[in-house]
Amino acid sequence: MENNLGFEIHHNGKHICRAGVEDKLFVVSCIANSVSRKLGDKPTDLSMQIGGLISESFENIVWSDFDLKLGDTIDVEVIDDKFSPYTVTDVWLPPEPEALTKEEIAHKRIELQKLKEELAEHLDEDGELRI
Amino acid sequence: MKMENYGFELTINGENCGRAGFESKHYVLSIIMLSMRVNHTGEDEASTYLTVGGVNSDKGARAEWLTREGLTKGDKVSLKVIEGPFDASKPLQFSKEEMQLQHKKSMYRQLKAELEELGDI
Repeated sequence: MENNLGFEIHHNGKHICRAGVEDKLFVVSCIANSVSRKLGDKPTDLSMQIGGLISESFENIVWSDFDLKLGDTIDVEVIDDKFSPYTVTDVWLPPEPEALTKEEIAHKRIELQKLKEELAEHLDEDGELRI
Repeated sequence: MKMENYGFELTINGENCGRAGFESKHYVLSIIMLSMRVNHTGEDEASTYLTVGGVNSDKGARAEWLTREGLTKGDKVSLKVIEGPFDASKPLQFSKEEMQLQHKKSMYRQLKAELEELGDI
């Protein structure tokens, strides 16, 4: 199996981290955001988040999270080794499936029927969505 | 008052890939780089992904400037925080109606699978 790929990140020339994981199943993400919101406590957001998920342990992980400003530069190189340690921010465990009541199942059935009618032109004769 | 709209200028392996940004008052613009290894089919699949896109919140319209898969070791991506003018996004944009339709299709798939699992349909 080939090495896992990650990202080495520099912010304005300063080394931030080598984001990547050795684990078998994972997601590593580098996300730059520029946001102007209508509502909320933080109407504008200009930031960079470097994090991910260890799929098998359901751990959310982070390497760095920082604000950006006009003129800032971010340089990213795809790498496959010498990953920096990360911080686990939380663990998301999938909920145990709960038994649905008859009423809840009936409600879902009604919702499905309603969607089926609304999506009629997109469904084939077996009720499958056409691609 | 001058409206502060910030976007990103993107370069991949030295090639300028444009100036992404919105002129609208409210928006969400993201550059997302992903590396992942998943196993949905019984076999591990590794992939990398880069996308530049977002939503014009005033129009409820999605926008996309660039999508690239298959980044490999040594590839270099650079971005710079910029002000306008910005490049136009790709002509393909999903309207609010199209997004609602996609949401309904997603809900339909989910409900159908749930009820099938329950043996109810």
